[in-house]
Amino acid sequence: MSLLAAWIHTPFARALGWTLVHFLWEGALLGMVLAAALRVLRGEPARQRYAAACVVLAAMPAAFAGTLAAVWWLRPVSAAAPLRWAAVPLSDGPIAVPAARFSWAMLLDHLAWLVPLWLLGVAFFCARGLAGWAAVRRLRRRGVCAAPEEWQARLDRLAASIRLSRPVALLESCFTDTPVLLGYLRPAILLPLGCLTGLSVAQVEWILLHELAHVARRDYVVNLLQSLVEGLLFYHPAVWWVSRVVRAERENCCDDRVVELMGDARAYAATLAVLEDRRALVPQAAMAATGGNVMKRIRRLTMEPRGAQASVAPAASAAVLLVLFAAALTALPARLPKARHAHPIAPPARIAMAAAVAVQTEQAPANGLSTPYKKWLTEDVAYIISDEERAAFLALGSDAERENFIEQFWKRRDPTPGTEENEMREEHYRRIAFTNEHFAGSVAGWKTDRGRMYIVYGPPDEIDDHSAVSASNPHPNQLWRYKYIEGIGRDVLVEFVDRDGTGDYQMTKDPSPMPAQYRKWLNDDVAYIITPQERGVFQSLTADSQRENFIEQFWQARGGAAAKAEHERRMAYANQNFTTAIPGWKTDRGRIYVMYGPPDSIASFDGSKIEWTYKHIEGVGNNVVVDFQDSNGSGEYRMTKDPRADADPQFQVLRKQLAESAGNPRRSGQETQSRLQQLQSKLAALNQQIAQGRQEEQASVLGEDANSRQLEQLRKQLAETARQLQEALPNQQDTANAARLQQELISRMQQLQASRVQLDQLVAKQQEEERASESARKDLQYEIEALAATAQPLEPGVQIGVRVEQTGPGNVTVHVPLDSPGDRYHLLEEVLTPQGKIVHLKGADPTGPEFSQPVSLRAGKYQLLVVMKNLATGATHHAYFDFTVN
Amino acid sequence: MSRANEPPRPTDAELEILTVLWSLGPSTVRDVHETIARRKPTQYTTVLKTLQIMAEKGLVKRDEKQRAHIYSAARPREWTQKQLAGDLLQRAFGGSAASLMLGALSAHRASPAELAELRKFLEEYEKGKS
Repeated sequence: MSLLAAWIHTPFARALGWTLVHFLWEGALLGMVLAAALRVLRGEPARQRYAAACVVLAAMPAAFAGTLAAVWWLRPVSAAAPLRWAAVPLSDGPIAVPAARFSWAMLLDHLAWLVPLWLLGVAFFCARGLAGWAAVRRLRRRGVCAAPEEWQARLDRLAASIRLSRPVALLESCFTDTPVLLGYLRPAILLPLGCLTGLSVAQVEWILLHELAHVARRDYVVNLLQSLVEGLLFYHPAVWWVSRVVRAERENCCDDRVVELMGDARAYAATLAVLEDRRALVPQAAMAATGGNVMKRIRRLTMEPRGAQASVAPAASAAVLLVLFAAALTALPARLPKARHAHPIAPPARIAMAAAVAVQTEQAPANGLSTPYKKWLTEDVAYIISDEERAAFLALGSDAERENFIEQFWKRRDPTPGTEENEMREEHYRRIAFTNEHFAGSVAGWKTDRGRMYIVYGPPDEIDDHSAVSASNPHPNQLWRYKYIEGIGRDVLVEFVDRDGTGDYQMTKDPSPMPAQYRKWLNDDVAYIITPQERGVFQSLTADSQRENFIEQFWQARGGAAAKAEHERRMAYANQNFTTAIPGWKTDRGRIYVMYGPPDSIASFDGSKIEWTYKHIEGVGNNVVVDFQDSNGSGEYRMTKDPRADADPQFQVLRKQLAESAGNPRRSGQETQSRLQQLQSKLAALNQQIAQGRQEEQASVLGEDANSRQLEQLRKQLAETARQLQEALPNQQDTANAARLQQELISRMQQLQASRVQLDQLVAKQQEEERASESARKDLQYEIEALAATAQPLEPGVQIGVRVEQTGPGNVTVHVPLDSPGDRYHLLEEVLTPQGKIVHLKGADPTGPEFSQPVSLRAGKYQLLVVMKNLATGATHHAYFDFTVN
Repeated sequence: MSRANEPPRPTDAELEILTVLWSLGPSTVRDVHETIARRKPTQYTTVLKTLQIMAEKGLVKRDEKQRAHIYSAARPREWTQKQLAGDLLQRAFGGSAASLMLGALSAHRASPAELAELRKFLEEYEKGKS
């Protein structure tokens, strides 16, 4: 008890106590505000009154918290602050104190006990809430059965009619006497048994609709929060009154919704009446002392609005309370000068103050960053860092962690993780430098719209610069065109306008992705027949109605429905006949077919070559011949460079048209070629890495199945990538495809990097177990790799007389002839490579014609790598010898 | 008035079957099983076994006249509800549970005065309709 007595005099408990007292008048004031609001809103729709009541209810805990914060921050902090809750100095002995003052002190001293009492009450309401929650759970599980299927189906239909997508279960229960809704995540409507058979279908539907309206309005969550507020501020009657208004208006809102949907308010009211009437038939342990509100609702539904539900009583009692406490508060400070410091500020100011503190602490982490890291986050990588990464970075505690994060950040984006330089990082900083140099106006270049665009998507493929101002061009503007942006589409146009002539170009429209069906229409359906101009127009459209209109116009211009049907037929034909690994319409034959229709004649040579002849192609010429060849037997015919093409300009025109129609960039062939060469060299580097990985694997005892499978898989993937690249080669125009391949390549390289890291870890672990020192072992490993890489296998038929003699358990002597056979080969190196273990045999003095070395080995299988030099040719050769140690 | 003639309080599983029987009326085991299985996976044999036990306890009646036995609740729903109303948890915390649920009607029943007014309204409504 003494502990509690001590606690209630702590500053926090005192602040809490004062808050409890202050809330008496605050709550009363808020109650009066609601009463006044309801008076004003008399005759307005129920949802307005509901909103008002909800706001007031939410304001109550807010006022409480704000008051607590204000009292706490403004508490007297001087060392002389008295220990007692009441600020009466103890030295004022009872004799010196007049009777009135003494009683105030006594009163306040006793008031301190309000805090534990209040806590007790809160605990009670918490327990009550938990018990209620448990009871609701039981209600859902006990004594229930699923309603007949046709009723569940009706409920689903009703839910769909109010556009409610969450499934709601319909159950019959023998424990409820009225339809109720439970659960928020998995809502269920419980109907009392007999409800479905005792009421008409329409009546049940009305009731179900009422409950569904609750689900749709998410009333369950509001109700839960409401219960929390009730529990916290249980001691104030105004809280309960406001809460009751919320509940009543909530039901009214749902009633209104049902009547809006179904009409016939009187019939609905009658349904409620029947329901209430039926309830009286069900036995109940004790009759509820307070009546329900159904009659009020029925009156409201069937008659003209009679006015707000608010009665005068609560308003009057609130007023009395307010006056009482206002008087008490004005009296208190006069008598207790020290306590006055605790409450000189009006509630709104206190709340604002508390909010300001909250904001400050929220911003603290970002402000806590030291300058270079803040700059890195908010300037260097502001456009390319993901939200998760940003959050992770802000959560870091030390500069070392941040350095590491930045390193990892760029590592993740490195297109060639094996190499020293990071092309992505270099390109990114180059872009920033470029924007600062070229786009700077009143703000730094990287901050401008053009800068942002440039940093995120790189240099545009084309820029239409209209910086010269004329009558028809009142503002300088630039039109940027990107041929392809991953995730947005082909031919992206971005317009920048300098409206005030300051040099600050602003983006007029974000190149947001158009809906998938239109993107498909543009890039798949009509990719070959839409002109670049039309494409540009279509991409600049923003509304779906405009797009629909455009599509209609598009076909009108090409001959209406017949042209559309013919185009669709060609697409279908191409897909049906030319599809291989890629859809038929994307193949070369598909492209030609879709654009120019069936050829006038088709000739086929030796099964791998097809020649199409068109008598006439508009814009190309007469007697156009197109050759297709299936070079690898995959069934996919590609357009080949016709031998006559050099002499025949037709072919080049055709190719150009094809390139344009597919929305491909007019990159020069050289450029594409060099890009593909880059890709190929990257691939070669990768293959080398893999080979290296395999060697490491061989050298490792942990070269277990998992590892080799992983590497094998990667190898296959890379082979697949290589194949695709090979395919992409003749099809040089297809930049989109190449870009995709490049992306794929990058992601695979990242995968490879990850698996290599794993492998390295395994090898490192193994190394610890080695007898040989780390560096010696590594040297050896590299030596072996170098040997195996440079030496060729022994020529066939050549025998080297290697002997392994077992001299005892676990002991062998290895004999290798120094020169053999016929003095053509000379021993250069010999290494024992038991799986994972490396024992260098070299070092012992060779005596006689052969090299002999005793070795102690555990029982098992081993391999001896011998490297010989061919004296005639100077080439090195290697051979492996297997032997077993017992 | 011997207590021995009264059926015992049903267990939760038995209560669920009783609820189905009150909802559907006299039913075959298959009907009962189908309804229960729609809410949670349940074996047919489990339902059959439970019904047989309930028949022994006197909670349900079995009509063996047809090939498929027809089961029906031995007591009306109201009787069992009264029997279960003594459920401590349900009674002690019914109020707090009610405030956690949303219903077409308020958690509190209408007072007798309200009921009278309500019935008057209904009568008028019926008259107005005809």
